[in-house]
Amino acid sequence: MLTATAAAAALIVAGLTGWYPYANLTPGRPAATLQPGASAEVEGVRYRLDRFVVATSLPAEDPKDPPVVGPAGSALVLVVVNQTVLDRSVRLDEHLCDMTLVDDDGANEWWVDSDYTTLAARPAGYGCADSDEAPLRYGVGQDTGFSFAVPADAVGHLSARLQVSHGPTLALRP
Amino acid sequence: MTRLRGVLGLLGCLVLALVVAVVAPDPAQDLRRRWTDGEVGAWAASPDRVARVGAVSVVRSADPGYGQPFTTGQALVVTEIDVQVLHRRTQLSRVYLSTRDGQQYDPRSEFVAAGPSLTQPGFTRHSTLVFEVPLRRLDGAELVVDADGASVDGYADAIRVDLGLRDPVRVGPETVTPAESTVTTT
Repeated sequence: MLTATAAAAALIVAGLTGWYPYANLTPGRPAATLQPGASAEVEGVRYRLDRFVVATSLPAEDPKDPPVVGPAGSALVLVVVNQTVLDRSVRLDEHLCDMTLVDDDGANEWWVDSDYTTLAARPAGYGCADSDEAPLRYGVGQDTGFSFAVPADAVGHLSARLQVSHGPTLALRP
Repeated sequence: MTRLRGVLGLLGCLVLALVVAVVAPDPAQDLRRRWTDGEVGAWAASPDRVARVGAVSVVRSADPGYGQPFTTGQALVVTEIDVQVLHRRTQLSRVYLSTRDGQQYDPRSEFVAAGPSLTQPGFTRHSTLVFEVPLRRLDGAELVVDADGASVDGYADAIRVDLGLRDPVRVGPETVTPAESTVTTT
């Protein structure tokens, strides 16, 4: 009986040991799904999807520069989220987030581009966290932007995931 | 008696677990690889990337595009490679030359602008790597496009391409100038 219990315990521990890192790799179920103009309050923060732009080019930050483009056959995506921290128990310096793009079946995942869209006109905030350029304040809405380069054939099949560090995941659709 | 057998069984399980933990290789240090073999000019496909070595030359001098050309008394293996990235972005940071006797050579850092770098899915990275290798070790050398890390099953999917170098390897007298790395839509 004791042996069987030990074997069962060993199997459970081994299973949990394998499952835990895998579960951490898998994005959580979205707490809310937003389309442009829609908002949701999640864990003390109000998120509003301001824009989900998919285009072959994006305006440059400096109006004198030509529009920003990616490689031939690609499209650029700019997702702008407005966030307002309502709950003062949310620590502004620990309110971190990141965004990825995924296609409909989840087979492909794109991370924020750091090659082609760095000169595009975007909000000052590149993540959810407080920064010198875009200080975050309780009760004050702030735009944060994420840009991507994707193959053109992915257009029409894309959605974004906003993952708040140690917090919720939001699904964003164009 | 039954109780004693149970305690011994439990102790046996604990000892077995301890032995496995001590003896098993650290997956972070010693990745188990699932190899895909390729040859120059042909695409070789692993689950998350497809690679093709387009051209291989062996010279003694290469120009990084700044300062003096880099020269060596041994050999510079200049390898052009295309990598199609599937599913998830990759750093392509673990591409190296492996010799028959198990030595590994990383690309020369002088040519980093021509080398592979972060690439997103749906795009193909064209890059050139320059390896400095002792001439006597070139016979049978392979280019390895290694995974950034292990898959969920603990294995790393890696591609190795026989560069077709066989003794005696001809060393060209020219100075090559690797072009900067480029990205195109796959």
